[in-house]
Amino acid sequence: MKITRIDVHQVELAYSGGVYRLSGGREYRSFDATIIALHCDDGTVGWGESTPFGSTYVAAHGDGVRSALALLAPAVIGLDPRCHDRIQDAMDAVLTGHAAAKTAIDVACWDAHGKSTGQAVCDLLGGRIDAPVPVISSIGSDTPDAMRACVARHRKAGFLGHSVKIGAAESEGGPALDAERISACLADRQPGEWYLADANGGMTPESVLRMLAHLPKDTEIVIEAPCASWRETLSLRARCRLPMLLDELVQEDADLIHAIASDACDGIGLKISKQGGLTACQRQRAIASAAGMIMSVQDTTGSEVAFAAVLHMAQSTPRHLLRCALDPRSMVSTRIAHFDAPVINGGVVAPDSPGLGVTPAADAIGKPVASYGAN
Amino acid sequence: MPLLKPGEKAMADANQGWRVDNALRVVNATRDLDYILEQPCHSYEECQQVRRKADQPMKLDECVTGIHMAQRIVADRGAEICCLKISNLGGLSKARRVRDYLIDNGIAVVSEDSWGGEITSAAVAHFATSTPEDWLVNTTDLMNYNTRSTGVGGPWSDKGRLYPGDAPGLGVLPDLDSIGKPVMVYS
Repeated sequence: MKITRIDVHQVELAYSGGVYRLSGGREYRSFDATIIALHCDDGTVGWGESTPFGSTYVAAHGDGVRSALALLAPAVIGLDPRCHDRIQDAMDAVLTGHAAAKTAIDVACWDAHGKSTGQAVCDLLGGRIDAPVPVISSIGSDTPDAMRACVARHRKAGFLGHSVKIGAAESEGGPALDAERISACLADRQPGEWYLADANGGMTPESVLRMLAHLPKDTEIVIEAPCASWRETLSLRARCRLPMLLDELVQEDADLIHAIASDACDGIGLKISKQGGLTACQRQRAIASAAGMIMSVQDTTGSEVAFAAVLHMAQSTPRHLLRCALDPRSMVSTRIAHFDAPVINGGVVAPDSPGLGVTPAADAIGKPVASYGAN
Repeated sequence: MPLLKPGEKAMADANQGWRVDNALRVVNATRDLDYILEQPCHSYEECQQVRRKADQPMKLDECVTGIHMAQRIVADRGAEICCLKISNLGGLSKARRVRDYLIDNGIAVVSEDSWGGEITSAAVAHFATSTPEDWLVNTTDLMNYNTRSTGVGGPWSDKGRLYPGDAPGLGVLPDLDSIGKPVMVYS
């Protein structure tokens, strides 16, 4: 089985809530998705996606993904898509870094692999663990009452995990407002619910420590990505009584190893395109598991294709370490594919069909903007 | 027997290419040689693993990616010398912050860039010239490694020294015949 051609499509995915606000004044209205079709000599077509979260979340953006694919795609033509580590080697040999771009090819290879053997990707990634994967909500920064109502709406839909966005500027209310937001979101807490307070790297140790001082002593929540740098994170870690999860700081294997060696956190956010694809996520999941770290399986954002990759990874992640998966369908109003994985009572099950189990509609993704290999 | 003449320095640069065990074999077999070991292995952690057993001074290059890595290097005392490549660090403003932080903490620097012609070399030369002499190990005359020019004027090298000149700004004009028409214009 050999890769013969890679078609690159570009789709603009609209944010379903109008304007998405992140700490540091970052705003996103839509997301620039790159969808690829990886054609093989036996007629198999694998689908992959890379959709950066704007251009200011991590070092990735849509045009960059497509430019990198001009280097990466020719390097994997002729290779066996089922030899995932060798595909990685071939990509690393022509381009250092650029995990987001490598993700599109890597994920498409897993889809093609599954289709060629008749297995769902979660079975290739170690095996399906039965029972629905809990999905996590994203409670955008707002007034404490509005955020409490947003949690209630998600609770009504069955969500057990809630990611509360914090990181208010001093002028907005600062750490005191963030503490109020957390308390409001936790006010109606039910048994079995799990909460994150996510600053997306936008706070300083000083602001987090002040926020903690405002919180009641028995507040139970996991702090995610409080600070932008390792130094700040390690400084806070030594003085923070709440568990910590890192996200943006953990991208390459070396970052995870550094996090473990310095005991910087209790868990990580595994985002498919941030880590560099399913191959990288599977490897980092193993490393994190060995260190006893919990994992929230996510992607930066994306369409049904990106969610399929997230779901298959989560479906095969040991449940005692899995803390929810992110369903980007809740963030994006543009639909490009039917994916038979409905959210029922806050849980979702990866389909049994071969590969990722998702095929983009031709009219939704349009004509390729680039094509590599034989026609 | 010294192989270097007075004033000369030697660096052995693996550009991340060695595995730790092989790097250790090299440093063990060359304990009597006066040279600086540069970026032996891929990651910072691997380089530190070598450093714990190597007698040679260590210079880091590829892993010096910004101020946060500089903080780690200072905290760990992870290198004697850091190579500062202007475009790896995000320009002169960011490179200057990293340089000042490192030299204030007693770690010497090299002024370089990943590659470039006369214009890049002018930036490299000005960055080098403004670095206190005691903390600058060396710089590179990148413009002499290319067959095609990007600039007219700019720095020149003479007897192993690079001179930025006194002209305003970078002191180099673009070589418009050589660089051709813009591929993109933003206005």
